[in-house]
Amino acid sequence: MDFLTIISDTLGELIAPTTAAYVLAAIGLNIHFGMTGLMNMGQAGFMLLGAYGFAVTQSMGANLFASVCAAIALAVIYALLLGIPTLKLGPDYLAMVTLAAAEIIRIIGRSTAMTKITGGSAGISPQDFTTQFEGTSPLPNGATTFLLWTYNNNIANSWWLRIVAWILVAVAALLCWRWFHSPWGRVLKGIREDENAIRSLGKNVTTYKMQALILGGIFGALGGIIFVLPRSVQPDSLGRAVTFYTWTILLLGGAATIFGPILGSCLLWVLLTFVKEVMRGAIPDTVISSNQVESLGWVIVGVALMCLVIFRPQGLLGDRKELAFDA
Amino acid sequence: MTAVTLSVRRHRLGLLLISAIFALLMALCISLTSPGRAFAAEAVPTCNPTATNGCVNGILQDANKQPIANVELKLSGKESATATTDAQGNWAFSVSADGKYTVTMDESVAKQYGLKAATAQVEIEKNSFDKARQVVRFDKPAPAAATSGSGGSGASSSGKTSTSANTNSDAATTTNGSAIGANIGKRVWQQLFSGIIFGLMLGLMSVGMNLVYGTTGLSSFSHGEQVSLGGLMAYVGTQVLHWPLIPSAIFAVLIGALTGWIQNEIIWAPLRRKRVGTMQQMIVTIGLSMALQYTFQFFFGGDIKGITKSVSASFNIGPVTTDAPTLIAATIAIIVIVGVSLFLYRTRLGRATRAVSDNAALAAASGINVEQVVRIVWILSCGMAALSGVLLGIYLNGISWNTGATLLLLMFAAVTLGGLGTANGALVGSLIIGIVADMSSLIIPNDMRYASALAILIIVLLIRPQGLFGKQQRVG
Amino acid sequence: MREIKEVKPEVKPFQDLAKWATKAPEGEKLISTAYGDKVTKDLKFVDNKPGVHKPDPILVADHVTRKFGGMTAVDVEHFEIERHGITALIGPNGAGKTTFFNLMTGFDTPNTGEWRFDGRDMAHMQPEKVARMGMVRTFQLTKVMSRLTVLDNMLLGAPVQPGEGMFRSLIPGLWKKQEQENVEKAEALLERFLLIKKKDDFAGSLSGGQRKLLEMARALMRDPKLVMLDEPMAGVNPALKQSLLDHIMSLREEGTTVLFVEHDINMVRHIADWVTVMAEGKIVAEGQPKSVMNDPAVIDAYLGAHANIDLGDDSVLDLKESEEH
Repeated sequence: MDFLTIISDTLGELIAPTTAAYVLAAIGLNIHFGMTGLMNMGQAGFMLLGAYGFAVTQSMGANLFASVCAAIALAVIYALLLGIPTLKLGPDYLAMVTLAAAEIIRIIGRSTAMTKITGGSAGISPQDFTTQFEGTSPLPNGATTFLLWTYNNNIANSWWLRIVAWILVAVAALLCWRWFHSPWGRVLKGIREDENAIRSLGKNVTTYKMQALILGGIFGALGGIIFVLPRSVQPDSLGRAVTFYTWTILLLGGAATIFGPILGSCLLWVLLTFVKEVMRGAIPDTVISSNQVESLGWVIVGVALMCLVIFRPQGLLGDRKELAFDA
Repeated sequence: MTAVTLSVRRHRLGLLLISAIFALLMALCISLTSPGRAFAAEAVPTCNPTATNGCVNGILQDANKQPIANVELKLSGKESATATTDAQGNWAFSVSADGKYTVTMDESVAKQYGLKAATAQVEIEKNSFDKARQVVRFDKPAPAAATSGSGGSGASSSGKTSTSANTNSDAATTTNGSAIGANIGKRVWQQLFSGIIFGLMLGLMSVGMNLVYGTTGLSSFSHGEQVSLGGLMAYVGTQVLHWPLIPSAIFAVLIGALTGWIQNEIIWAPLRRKRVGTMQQMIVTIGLSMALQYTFQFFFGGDIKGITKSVSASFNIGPVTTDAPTLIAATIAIIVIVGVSLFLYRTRLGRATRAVSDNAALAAASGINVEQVVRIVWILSCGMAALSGVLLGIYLNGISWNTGATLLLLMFAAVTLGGLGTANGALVGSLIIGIVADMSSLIIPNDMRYASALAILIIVLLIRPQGLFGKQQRVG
Repeated sequence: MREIKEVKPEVKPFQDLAKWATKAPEGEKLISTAYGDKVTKDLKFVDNKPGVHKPDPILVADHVTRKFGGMTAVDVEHFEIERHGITALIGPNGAGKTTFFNLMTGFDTPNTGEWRFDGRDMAHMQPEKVARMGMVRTFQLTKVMSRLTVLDNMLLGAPVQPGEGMFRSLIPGLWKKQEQENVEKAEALLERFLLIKKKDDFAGSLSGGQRKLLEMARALMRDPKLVMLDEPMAGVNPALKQSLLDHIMSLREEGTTVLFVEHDINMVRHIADWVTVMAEGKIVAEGQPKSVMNDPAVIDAYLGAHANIDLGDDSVLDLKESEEH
């Protein structure tokens, strides 16, 4: 493998739809954790629900707008179901329940009993749900080369998907910026610091937490839609690992910052792809097989996550001072 | 400032060290590379061989040729994928590479329907007319003498076969001639029995996890990997180093305990000294879990590793069919759990442990060395996890890189159900979760049974958030 | 103890009162003690016995019990707080004072009992509702939002905030004006509590005493009818203590009722209009500070072996007062 391919592949991750999908999921998680202090260990559950909500309604022939609404509605309902029993309890409980619930969604989604709706473990293939989205593209058919990258204009992993995904990211970041600097965001940050104090000041903490959970979940669901559009809906590809990736991204970029999720996602995927490609190119297959390189990539993410939390908990963009005090 | 940098360097060194130790440990023990997972294979409703793909498929039936629906089958070998049988028992994989493949189902399912094996091996050759499609049956005990060194082989195939009289059926055999569906009552007993066994294994894991939570406030996400580690180390002992089972098991438990000690010294103790919050520590355990899990995959590959190769005869106790290893594993689990309870309630150190769980600051003030207690708890907890990994590996006929990770949620469920931080609660919670998970497959599809256990967790939180044995606490 | 009294005719804005309580402005020797005097007068005729009825109660609690396992943490038969008064709640550690606070403010649910605040039934009310009714508390272990600035901490206490809606917060036009008013109010309070210089620092960087002040100031953002202070003096250095005492006195003169938990008997004696003593969850004595301190039940329950030692060290205050005369 020559060096130029490695570079262009690596930098391709910078604008890849998957990167954008993770940004959206991490923005959602940022609202949960960075702003409100909610330990959501099941962001992948929101993503999978969003993906199902979109793909299933699409395959049934609903229009694009209705499908997105369905995805959002599912995320809202899911957040309510999770939130009502757990938001009054300690953070450990929310962490475990979100983790368990995400797993339940995946297990149910992939079970044979659901094959008619979700396609079971085989999932929903792209031709069943991407055509309408591809049809909305104003771009001409064919492929376009821009700088290093050549992609199809409209189909599958396309330029059109990239444009939509990153516009979505921009809108999400803008909204987040507004929320972060509003009295609403202030209450959320207060809850993050000490919810009993906020309660004693006459704010309905549970309502605020619920709003945050729902809002972050909606971004998760949108991330899920973007995540599945260039591939198929595979319940197992949106498992626990995706949640952990999202956490790594958020903590890498910096929780409670606006650009943290964007920076974190771009950096993680670029670096990870780079390391893996170089290893594949440099180390002969007999020493370390391609599959093992894949495993090594995961090991690197795991170790990176540990190191981040231990040595730079504020991430790349966070304010050191903000984390200096132990509550 | 220098002091800060210094300490940071030390931690970084520590991290490197632990990764290095883990890597070394495994590199020492293992000298094989095996293909891990690949993604080209996929589950399809029906499969037809072409120039570019071969087919591995079959129809899963019980002795009475009744289809078995909703059973999950795993394909491993050259490529890997997962499929689930449909209502007619049909399943199929489309694969793209020539070579040997192993199809595995959950051991408990095979037991439940009395199949002779949970594993079958086939070889695909796309260009050969008769080898482009391979139909898989589970009616033969899988080759017990699978070579240990060759990754991707069905090493897990020691086969919990029964001494069945009914061997003439061609798709599958039932245990002792009891037709599925004809004897619901018997199935209930069988599931209850396997639920209790599973619950005991789970109890072994979650009691340790709960001790760590009680003394340090940390919910460890890497506890599942400690379980996998135990099983895999036992596999290393028996199949790579060719030791007998018991020394291998002891070796596995010692390695497990050692990792507990090392990780406490290198990671958790420094983090506690730095007063890093438990939520942050929890995220560190997630990172550790990912790193360990994929380190296992790196060295052991993606398939199931069998610890024992022998086929043991099964027998009946009342309505329940079982075999000797299962009973021995259960007995060991009970003995260890009782031993730990005695330790907690009868010994000085055990009382100190409970005091630390109750109120660490008060315990420290009354002269208990909290760090010492926490160190012992880590060693104990990881040793127990390793033991449970070994027992689970024997009971389920194999262990893989992610066995622990799939059980982690059930451990959490058990611990939360019993009440966070209460040692006995974890055991009761585990038994309930084990029984619910196995019994629920009588009602809901088998591949959804873990979901029911997790649903129980959520319901319990709704009704009694402090768990069955937890205490309410004052606010503010 | 109340020698420095002369009613000042026009009541000045609250900012000035803090200064007034310690030292009269130039040319004036007066301090408004209108509410204090009224309460003193009213309570003069009230019996000094547990569970007594008071002339104008703002909070009335009946049969409030709370059990933790087998232990009864709180068992209050009848309790009233006089409006506009400063009521001190004292008692040994573990007497159930904080639990009682938690019960009254909705942070904990009692096993039995009912209580009325300003005539409204408060049982089973959520803490946030309790606060909105005008009953605001502080915590024994100070709760400040460490990673928010001091000003943000204050603003969180403000009651009217249109920008706290999720959707409205996106349009600054809808809340900027109100926000500005809140900022002005917060800054005035910070000035009064000597925290104005710290307003842009993170609250986590404040000292323990400053945090206590911030928590109290934050509670006042809501203009509460009843403010419940859980050990406001714990960990506050002696220099700040005096000004904190003055703040509490000036609160009364603005019409706020104060209930506070305190271990410092000296302070209780100086500022409280009424003292309630709890021991083992029960109210064992009530009355005017002077008489309660001599009550054998109190000495037994609270002062114990130290009954003969003069716990109150009045010298600081006496010195100050003599200087002013």
